[in-house]
Amino acid sequence: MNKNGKPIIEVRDLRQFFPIQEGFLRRTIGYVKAVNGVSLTINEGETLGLVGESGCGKSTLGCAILRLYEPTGGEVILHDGDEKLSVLELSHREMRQVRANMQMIFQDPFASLNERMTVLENVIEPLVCNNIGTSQEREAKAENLLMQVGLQKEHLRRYPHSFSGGQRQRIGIARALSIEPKFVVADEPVFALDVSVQAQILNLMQELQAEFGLSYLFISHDMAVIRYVSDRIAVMYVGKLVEYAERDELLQHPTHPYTEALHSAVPRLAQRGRRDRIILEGAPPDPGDLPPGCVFQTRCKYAEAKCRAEEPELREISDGHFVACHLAEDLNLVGIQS
Amino acid sequence: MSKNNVRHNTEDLILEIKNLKTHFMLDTGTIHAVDGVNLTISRGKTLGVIGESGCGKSVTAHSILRLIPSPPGKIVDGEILLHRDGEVIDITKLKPTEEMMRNIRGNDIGMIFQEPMTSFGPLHTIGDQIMETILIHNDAANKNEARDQAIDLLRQVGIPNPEQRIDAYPHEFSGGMRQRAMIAMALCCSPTLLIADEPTTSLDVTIEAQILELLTGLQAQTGMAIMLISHNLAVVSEMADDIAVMYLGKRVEFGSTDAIFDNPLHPYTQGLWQSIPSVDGPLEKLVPIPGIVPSPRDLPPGCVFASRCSEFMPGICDAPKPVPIIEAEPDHFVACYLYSNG
Ligand SMILES: Nc1ncnc2c1ncn2[C@@H]1O[C@H](COP(=O)(O)OP(=O)(O)OP(=O)(O)O)[C@@H](O)[C@H]1O
Ligand SMILES: Nc1ncnc2c1ncn2[C@@H]1O[C@H](COP(=O)(O)OP(=O)(O)OP(=O)(O)O)[C@@H](O)[C@H]1O
Ligand code: SF4
Ligand code: SF4
Ligand SMILES: [Mg+2]
Ligand SMILES: [Mg+2]
Repeated sequence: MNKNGKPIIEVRDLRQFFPIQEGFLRRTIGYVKAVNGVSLTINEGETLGLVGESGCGKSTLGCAILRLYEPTGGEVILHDGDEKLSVLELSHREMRQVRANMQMIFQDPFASLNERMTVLENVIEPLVCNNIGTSQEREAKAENLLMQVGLQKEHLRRYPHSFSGGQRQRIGIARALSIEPKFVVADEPVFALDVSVQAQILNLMQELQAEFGLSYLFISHDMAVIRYVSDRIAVMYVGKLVEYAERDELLQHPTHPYTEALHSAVPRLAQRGRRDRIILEGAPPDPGDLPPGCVFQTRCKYAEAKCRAEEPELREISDGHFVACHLAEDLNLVGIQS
Repeated sequence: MSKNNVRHNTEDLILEIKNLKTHFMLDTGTIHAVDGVNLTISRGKTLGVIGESGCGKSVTAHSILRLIPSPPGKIVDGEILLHRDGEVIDITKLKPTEEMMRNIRGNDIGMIFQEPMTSFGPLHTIGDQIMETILIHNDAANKNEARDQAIDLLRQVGIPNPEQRIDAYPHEFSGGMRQRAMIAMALCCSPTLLIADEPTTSLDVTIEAQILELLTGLQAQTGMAIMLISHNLAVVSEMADDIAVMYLGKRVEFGSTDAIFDNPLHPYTQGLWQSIPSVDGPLEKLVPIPGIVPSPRDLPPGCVFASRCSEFMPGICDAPKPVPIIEAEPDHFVACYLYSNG
C-alpha cells in the first residue's frame, strides 16, 4: 500500500453555509454554518475516517470537497501527479474531467441511483460521461465490478427498485469505482447492511485501495468500523474539526472532551456488561446561531470562562495530533483501551 | 464484568415462546418467517435477539403482540405463554382485537417499533398521543398530571426543551427524535415486558448511550424485562443477560451472554463473531460468512445454515428432518449436528 505521505487532497478553511430563508419573499435572515472552516489533508493510499454526531456536517463536508455544492469559501487542492488543481476554481468543463478522479459513495442508497436507468446504466454512467471505453468494455467492466461487490451479472438488466438497501449500496459502490478514481468520499457506505455483508464491503474497499492506491474520506458514525478502516481519524462537531490524529493515538489518547464523550458512549464488545458512561447533557448549538467561543461549551463538563469568550484554534499538540480545545494539555482524558 | 448464568426460575418467568411458527401465505408460496422458535424471558432480565436481516426477529416480536397482518400472515403452530399474577395466558389463542389482547398490549407489554413512523398518527401532537396512552392506562390521572408525566418522559429520553416540544407534531421531529418519543410512549404504561426492536439504530452513539442507560435504570427500578432486538452485537453484549441467535426463522443458539460470546457453538454464531469489527478487541481482518441467506420461500431440507457452513456434513446436515436442539453445556442450547453424539 502506498502511504508515502504524499497528499492527494488538501482542504483549507473550507466553508459551506446554507441560507436560512423566511417569509413570503424568502428573505435570507441568516446562515446554517454546516461546514465552518475545515482544513485537512488526505494522503495517497490513505483512509481518513470522519466521525461526529448526526447533523454535524460530515456529508456536507464530503459534498463540498467534491464540489457537489458550490462552497461558500476556502480551498480544495487536488494533486494529480505533480500538478496541483484548485478544484473550486475550475470551469465546469474542467470540473468534468477532474470528477473522474473524485467520486462519492452516497449515504442514501435510495436517492443515489437513477430509478429510470438499469443497474448497468447506473454503474457505467461515470464512464459514459467521461467518454471512457467502448460499450463492450464498459459492460465487461460493470459485470466484473458487480461480481466484486457480491452481486450477479443477471442483475445488470434490472432496475434499482427491485433491490434491497444493501444491494443498492453495493451498486452505488460499483458505480463510484467504475471510473477508477483516485479519491473517494464514502458516506456511511456500510450503514444498514448486515454484518456479514458489511464485512464483505469493508474488505472489498480495502482490497481496491491496495490495488489502485485509492484514498478514502470514510464517513461513519460507527467507531468500530472507523477503527477497522482508518489510518487517521478526524472528529467533527457542529461544522468544525475538533480533533484529528493517527488512529490508535486518537482512540487511546483523546485530548478533546467531545472525543472523550464519544469514546465513552461507544458500545464495546470486549468489555462486556454495563459501564459507566459519560452522558452528554444538553444539546449542540444551532449551526444557524452559534455562540461566541468554543462550539462544545454548551455540553462540556470542563468548560471555563475562557471557553465562552474565545474560540479555540485547531493546533498541533504533538506530532500529527491536532486539537481545538483551550485546556487540551491540562485535561487527563480517558480513551478506549484494547 | 460477568453475568451469572441462573437457571430460569419458573416464578420469575414472564414469557415463554414454545415452537412458534408464523408463516405468510403468499400466491407465490409460503414464507416460513418464524419456523419453530423457543424463547424464555424472565423478570428483570434482558434477552438479546440477534441475527441477519430477514431472519424473523420482528415477526417474532409482532407475533407476541398479535400484530401480524392476516391474511397473509398466520401463527400456524406453537404457544406464547404470558405469565401474570399467577395465571398463564396463551396469547396465540386470543383474538388480535379482543379486550384481553388490547389490555396486554397496553399494560403488560410495551413495544418500541423498528419503524418509528408507524407508531404516531400524523394528525395529533406527540404530547396528545402520549397523554392519551397515559390516561387510558391510569384512570386516576388527570390531564395536567398526564401532561407533566409526558414532559418528564420526553425529558428522560433526551428530547431538549420538552415543555415546548411536547406540542410538536410528529413531522416536526427528526427521525431520531421520533424514535425517542416512541420510546417514551412505550414506557408510559410501565410495562412488565418491553420489546425493543432496534431501539437505537438510527441514533447517535451519545444518544444511544443515554437511551440504554435509561432502559437499564428503569429495569433496575421496576424489574421490567426487556426483549432487545438489535443487529448491533456490541449493544447486545452490554445489555443482555441471555442471547438468542436466529437464522432463517429458527433459533439456532441460545445461552447466557458470556456463553454466546466466549464459547459460541453454532457455526453461524462463530461466523458472526469473525465478521464484526470491534472498537476495543484485537484488530484482525474480518472474515465474512460466505454465500447469502437462502430465500425463506424454499427452505433447504435439514439445517437452514447448511448452504453456508464450512462444517457441513453431507447426508447428516441435509437429512430432511429437523436438526435436534442440544444442551451442549448447562443452559446453553445449539441446533447443530456437530454437538449430537450419536
Ligand atoms: N441543502 C441544505 N440546505 C440547508 N441546510 C442543510 C442542507 N444540507 C444540510 N443542511 C444542514 O447542515 C447541517 C449538516 O448536515 P449534514 O447532512 O452534513 O450532517 P451529517 O453530519 O452528514 O449528519 P448525518 O450523520 O445525520 O448524516 C445540518 O444542520 C443540516 O440540517
Ligand atoms: N407482511 C409480510 N408479508 C410477507 N412477508 C413478510 C411480511 N412481514 C415479514 N415478512 C417476511 O418474513 C421474514 C422475516 O421478516 P422480519 O421482519 O421478521 O425480519 P427481521 O429479522 O426483523 O429483519 P431486519 O433485521 O431486517 O429487521 C422476511 O423474509 C420477510 O420478508
Ligand atoms: S475549549 Fe473549553 S469548552 Fe471547548 S472543549 Fe475545551 S474545555 Fe471544553
Ligand atoms: S448442522 Fe451441519 S450444516 Fe448445520 S450448522 Fe451444524 S454443521 Fe453446519
Ligand atoms: Mg450525513
Ligand atoms: Mg426487523
